[in-house]
Amino acid sequence: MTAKGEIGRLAKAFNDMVVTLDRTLRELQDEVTARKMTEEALRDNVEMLRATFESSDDGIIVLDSNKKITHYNSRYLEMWNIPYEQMITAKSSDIFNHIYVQLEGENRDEIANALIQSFQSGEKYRKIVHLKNGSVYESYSSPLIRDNKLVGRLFSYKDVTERMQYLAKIKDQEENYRTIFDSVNEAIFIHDKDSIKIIDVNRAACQIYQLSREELLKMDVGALSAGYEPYTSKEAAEKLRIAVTEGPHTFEWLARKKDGTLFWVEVSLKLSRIMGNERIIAVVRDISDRKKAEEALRESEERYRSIYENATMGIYRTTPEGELLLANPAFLKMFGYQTIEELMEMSKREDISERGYDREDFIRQFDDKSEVRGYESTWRKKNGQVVYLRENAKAIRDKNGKILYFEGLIEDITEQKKLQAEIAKVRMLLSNIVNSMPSVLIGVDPKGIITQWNRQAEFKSGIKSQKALGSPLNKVMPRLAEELNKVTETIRNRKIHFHPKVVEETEEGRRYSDITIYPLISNGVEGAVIRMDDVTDRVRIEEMMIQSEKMLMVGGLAAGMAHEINNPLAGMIQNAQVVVNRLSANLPANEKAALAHGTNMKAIRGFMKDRDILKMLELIQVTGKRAAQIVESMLSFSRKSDAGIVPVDINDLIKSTVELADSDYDLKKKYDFKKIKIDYKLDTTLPQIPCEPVKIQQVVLNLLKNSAQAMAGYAEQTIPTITIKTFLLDKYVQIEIEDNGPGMDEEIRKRVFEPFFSTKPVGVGTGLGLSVSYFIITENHKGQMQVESTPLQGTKFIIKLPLERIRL
Amino acid sequence: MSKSIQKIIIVDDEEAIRLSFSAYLEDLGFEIITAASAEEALKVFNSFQADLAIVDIRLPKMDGNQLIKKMQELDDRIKFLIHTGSVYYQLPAELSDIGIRPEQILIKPLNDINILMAAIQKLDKGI
Repeated sequence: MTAKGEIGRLAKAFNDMVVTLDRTLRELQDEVTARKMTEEALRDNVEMLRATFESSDDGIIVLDSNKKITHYNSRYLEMWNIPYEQMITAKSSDIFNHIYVQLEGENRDEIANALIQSFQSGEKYRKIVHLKNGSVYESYSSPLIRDNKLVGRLFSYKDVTERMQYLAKIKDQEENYRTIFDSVNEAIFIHDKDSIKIIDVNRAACQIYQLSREELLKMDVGALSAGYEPYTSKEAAEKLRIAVTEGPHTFEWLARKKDGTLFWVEVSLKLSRIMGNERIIAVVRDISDRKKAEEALRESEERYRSIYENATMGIYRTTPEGELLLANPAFLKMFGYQTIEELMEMSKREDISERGYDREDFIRQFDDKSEVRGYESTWRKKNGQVVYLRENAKAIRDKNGKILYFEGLIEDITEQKKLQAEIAKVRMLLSNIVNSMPSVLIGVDPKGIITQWNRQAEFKSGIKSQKALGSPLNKVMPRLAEELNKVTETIRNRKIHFHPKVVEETEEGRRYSDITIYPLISNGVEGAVIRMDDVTDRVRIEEMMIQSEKMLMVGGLAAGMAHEINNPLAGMIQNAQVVVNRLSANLPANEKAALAHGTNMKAIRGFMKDRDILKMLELIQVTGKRAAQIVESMLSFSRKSDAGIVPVDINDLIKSTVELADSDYDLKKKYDFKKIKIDYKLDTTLPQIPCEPVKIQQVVLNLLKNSAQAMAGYAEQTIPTITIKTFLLDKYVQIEIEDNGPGMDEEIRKRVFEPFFSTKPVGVGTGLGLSVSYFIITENHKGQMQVESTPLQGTKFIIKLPLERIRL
Repeated sequence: MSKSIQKIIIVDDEEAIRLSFSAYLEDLGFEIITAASAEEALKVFNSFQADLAIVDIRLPKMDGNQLIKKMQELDDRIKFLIHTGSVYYQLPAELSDIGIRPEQILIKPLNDINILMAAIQKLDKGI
């Protein structure tokens, strides 16, 4: 049922009333006419009728069959603005015209035609007449019949202006309500209170249920429901009944569309009075979306709960005071407890942190931020085990910024910590190993940037690893710049590159290094390790061994040819001496032979002297002896037995050798040995060492001679000085004999121990002195002998003799 | 020693050495005979009756050691000096057994020929 219907009903009632009135009036008119026509005698009645006629609210005019005005009342004149004077003389046509011009143009002709035709047809008619001035009249025309004979016609006009206006207003209102009714999104059903039938629906209802209004008005609510319990017509009726008996209520309902689709709605039922009728208004809202959202929310909540329950990370909420408000199973498990209560109880009883958990410190983390990541703490589990935890926490604050509580995730990092400790240990071990290596170890990346720098590298370069790391190798160690190419090559070829005996000139002299470059290809980390070993000592020893080999060769050669040379030398030297004897000695045989040849020894001696014969013979002997000496020296280059080895005080031996040098004729005369200052720096606590004193003396003397020769005539402004030092070093006695002479360059230094190498003019030395010395020290005594020298700064010979005899 | 050294036999395959020694010793009044090999020496040994033999070790056929042994067998009062060019010469056992000592070895070349005389005098004195 609708408001419109209500209004319609209202209008109808109104209409009925008018009709009733009309009828009454008409009956009255009929009666009046009849009386007029039939009984003059009934004057009273006539008078009364006239009065009634006159006082009628309707304007009435009566024409006879000739269209002559027979009656009219003053209301008629008033309604049509006809002056009374005019009416007395007026013809019906004048009146008609008068009325006609007042009619509103739209239905003027219709009215006029109806009027005219009514005379011919004799029909009754009723029309609504619109006047130009806005008045609306209802006109009624009826023939007047007397004795079954048409005697005239009656026209009456009722002013219905107000009524029409009212009706229009009602209609407007109804339309407004309808518009509102139809424009809401909720479906609205209006049920009759008693029959609960649907008597009206709005447009939304049609749309939602996919049914037309007409279809809906014919349907039972059951057909609009799911159709199974509790959504059947029976339950629906019950719901409607409750709205009547208990008042408005709202519930969810599973509804059905025309195509059978079920959907969720929310229904609000309310009993209402509409136009005096009691109706149940049902407002139905489609809540499918809300239901879906609710479902999604529920599922989502379930998911989160599952995560919360099953997460391996601990999830918690605590108050700033440390009260645990929320903790998931994983959190409790990390601490080894079953429930929050158990954990809280324990923590209240005793401190369960391992190293004193500082809650203040934790809270301070949030002073300038709302979130803290990676905060670590250590705890004791229920079973006493230590557990390391790391948490990410967030502070939840009220609108004043006060922390309400903390929420966070914790992770058990105990295993991680153990691993870290293990890794640190291994790293420390590796680092110790790398640093304890006697080699320089430098790690570089493919660009030559230093990634490793061990202690030996620090020591050799004087550059700390902090400074070296991250710097380019060629800047930190320029001498390795050219090795960088090899680094690249090594990384590319994945082959070890070995570069032996790389020379470096240092302030302490020439150093040799073996450089090895190892490619580093592990886990995608590219680079190389440069290993550098100082092999100077080894190279020196190798050099010495080569020297020794050479000398042994010479020795072997000499031994083989000594006999062959010594025999002719013996013939030469001995015969020369016999010749001298026979030419100069006072031998009777000489005199006898001279006389036999007519001369005498005196003359012969004179001749010899004049011709320098004796001098020449002497030179034959001297040079022969020198050749013999060379052979003898060469013979020194052969291994000999331990014979002659005795414990010797080296300091005494050195001093006696210097005395020997003092008395050496050649040294005295040629090299002014007396002028040389001997500076002793002897360690008087040295033990006696096993050696062949004569041989060692030979060596020391040889060195003193060499120094004296070198310093002779050199640098007169300085005092020629030989410094002799002895000291104990390791398992050796070291003897250093150093002069401040001219020194020598590297080329010479390298060769001084070579047999037959000499810088002296031919004939001055045999070129064997130093090599024999070297041989005596290294081969006969298993010691070491080196020379250090810098041009213009003197020369230092270093002899090391073992404290204990090393068997040959 | 009852008899002093008068007659000396020099055995050496090097003529220059034979000559230098014989000339030197003749001038000192010794009676000298020389031989260039052990075989030659043995040929003249019995007839010459030397008091001293100066023997080179390395000889063409029979070596000096064997020669000394032979001479010792033939005449046990003869004395010996060994004059050798081989620096590593060591007395073989059979020679030390017949009383020859290291001092009796002279290594070639003698820087001073008078060393020879000194050695002969030492032997003469029975040292």
